[in-house]
Amino acid sequence: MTTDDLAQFVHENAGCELAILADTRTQTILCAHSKLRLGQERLDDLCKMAARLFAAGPELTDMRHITDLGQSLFFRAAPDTCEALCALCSRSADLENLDVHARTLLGRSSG
Amino acid sequence: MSTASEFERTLGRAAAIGVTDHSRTHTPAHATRCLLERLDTCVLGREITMRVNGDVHLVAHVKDRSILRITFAQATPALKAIAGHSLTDTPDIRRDLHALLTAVCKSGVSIAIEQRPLSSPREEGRVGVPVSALLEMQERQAAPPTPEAHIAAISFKMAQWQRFDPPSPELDAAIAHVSRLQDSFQWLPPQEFALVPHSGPFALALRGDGVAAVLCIKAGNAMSVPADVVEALFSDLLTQHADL
Repeated sequence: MTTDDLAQFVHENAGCELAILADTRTQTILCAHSKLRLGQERLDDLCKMAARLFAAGPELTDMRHITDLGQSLFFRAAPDTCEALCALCSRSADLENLDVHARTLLGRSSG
Repeated sequence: MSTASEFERTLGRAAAIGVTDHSRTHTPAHATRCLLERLDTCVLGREITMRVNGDVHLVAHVKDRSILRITFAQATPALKAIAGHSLTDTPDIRRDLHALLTAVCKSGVSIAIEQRPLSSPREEGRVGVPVSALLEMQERQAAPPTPEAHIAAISFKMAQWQRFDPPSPELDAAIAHVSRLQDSFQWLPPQEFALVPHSGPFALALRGDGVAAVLCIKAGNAMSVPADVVEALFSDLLTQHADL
């Protein structure tokens, strides 16, 4: 997965503001694309959140965090793998499309 | 009022600790374009401030590309009417805002545009936004529950599970799963949700105040059901069953 893949992912999903590919084991951001210029610490926060969520459920592949101002979605290709695709979206984002796109992207990368 | 150098240092420090993103520009046309672009691409909640020659001229609370609240040093009836409208759907408002911004920026020797998330804590003593009335966000209107999803079972701090759906091995498995997960999600702030897909129509919802639920989703899945629907389901259920 490349930054261009993430840029296309953000572009194709209305309401998606940021996408990162993170290594949750080392808490490292592998690549990222954002519609807005965000500080590195914002990306780090999302990466830490992914690590925390998947640490809570190593058997899980998808998770979602909903707050008052937006929502974060976390996907990984298989349980207990360390690469996770994380997307930061508005509350009104069309998540049905985003869900499909995320799985396609992960499938292509791991395949 | 801060001097230009103090202001610049403050912005630099704020940017370094991630409190705010900012940009500086020297031409009115660029400043106007930059601000409109910030408003137009803002989907998460943000507070956007424009300073001209160090003085705050505009503070806008923006979310989902709509202006929730706005104050402007030279308020006009046209500008007051902007709040609550979507920038993408109302070209007239966009045009009026553009004209007003251009007029203000004409006198600009130094123009800065800052933005930060609405949820970030405010810092005392920092050169900031002096409009305290803007601190509270517009109350969000929750969407009514839809028939596509309902709460199958709910529990407060795992004390007791209240089942609304008929007993089934699948529902029991979902309850056992969410019970196992709950300890690991105690860090969630109250009113925030973690949503986890489960097998069949079930999804697991954990709220930061200790409420856990199994959702039965008939259209879509845990990753696609709208956030407002999830919140409305909880709110509705808790109102109806205050004794739970």
